[in-house]
Amino acid sequence: MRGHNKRGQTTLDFAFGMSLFIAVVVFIFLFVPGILEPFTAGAQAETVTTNRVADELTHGLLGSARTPGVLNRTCTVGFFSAVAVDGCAYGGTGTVPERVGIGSNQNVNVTIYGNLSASGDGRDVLCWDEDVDALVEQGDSGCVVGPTSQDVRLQDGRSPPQRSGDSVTATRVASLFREDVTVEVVMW
Amino acid sequence: MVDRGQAHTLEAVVAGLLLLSSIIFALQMTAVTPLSASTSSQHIENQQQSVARGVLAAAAEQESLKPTVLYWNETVGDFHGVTGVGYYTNEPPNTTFGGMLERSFDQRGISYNVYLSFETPAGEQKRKRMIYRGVPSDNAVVAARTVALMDDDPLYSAVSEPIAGTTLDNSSSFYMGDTGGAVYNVVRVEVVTWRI
Repeated sequence: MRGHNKRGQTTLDFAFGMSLFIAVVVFIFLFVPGILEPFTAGAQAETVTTNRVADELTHGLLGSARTPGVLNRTCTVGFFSAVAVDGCAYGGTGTVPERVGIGSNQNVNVTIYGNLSASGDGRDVLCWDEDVDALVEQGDSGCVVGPTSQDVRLQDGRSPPQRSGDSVTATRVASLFREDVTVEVVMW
Repeated sequence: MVDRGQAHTLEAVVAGLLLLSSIIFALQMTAVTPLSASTSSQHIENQQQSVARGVLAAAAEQESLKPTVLYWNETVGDFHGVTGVGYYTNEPPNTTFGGMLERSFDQRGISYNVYLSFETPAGEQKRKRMIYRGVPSDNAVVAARTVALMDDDPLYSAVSEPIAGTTLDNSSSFYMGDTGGAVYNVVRVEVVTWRI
């Protein structure tokens, strides 16, 4: 007898119930990793390398290992203009990855920021003004970077990705030409 | 009606509710905030510690650490510009070191305390607050540097200039005591930083 009142479970009920269950399971599997995402490190290798490069620059390559955190003016300007200077520890005159000793397939950007104006208008990329032997901010009229000028902008390497992708920044504070400056190393 | 086994697949609905409620329960139990400890916050703590160490090194190189320790108002018996509580709460002291702290931390949303740790003539360790902005969070990091003070070091004025004729030996209200010898005392400048 297969009368209308004597059915157990129809296929339609089963399909509805299972699809609901599967939808919940899929939702949970998509949702949980999303909550934890900000707490997992994305760029593992860059996190370690960027710290090593920043420490090397401020504790030796741009100054002396005897006085960590104190940068030598000649070495720093020489580093950013890719010129070998006697007595400075960085190697060669090649690209930035070669000078800081990392693989050439890794992207790195090294910048020295500072806030030299008394008004406290925020920090800016620094520039060495050869004509007056002084550090200026890059927007200053004394900072003329070009083939006819000896001025050096204290920034080198490719520009970090602006739109997407993981990048890791290491920040150090150091003393350069009796000013406190911020050395930032960005890798991606 | 009585002959039916089951009208709908209720098990699936119940199982779905069970899964969702366990997720909600887990989320309510653990407070996952941007300040929770993780690999990425460890990286940020390392940066803060390196920055604090760099600030202390830069201040020592520019000979500003000692003037900040000696930034003392002899007549009032307190740091210059401090009233009542005995330490700075909002603005750092008006010295080169104070300016460095402001540029490196205040402008980046990082809070900090500065403590001065030294030994009293009785031989006890004492920790004095110089800049205090509350109890640090669980993720705070510390960097420190030691400064030696001599018997004939002068006190510094409110504009961070040495005051001629003053020496630590002759000061009566200075917060440290003479521990004997030509060295007046040795003070450890501790910078504790944390994210806010």
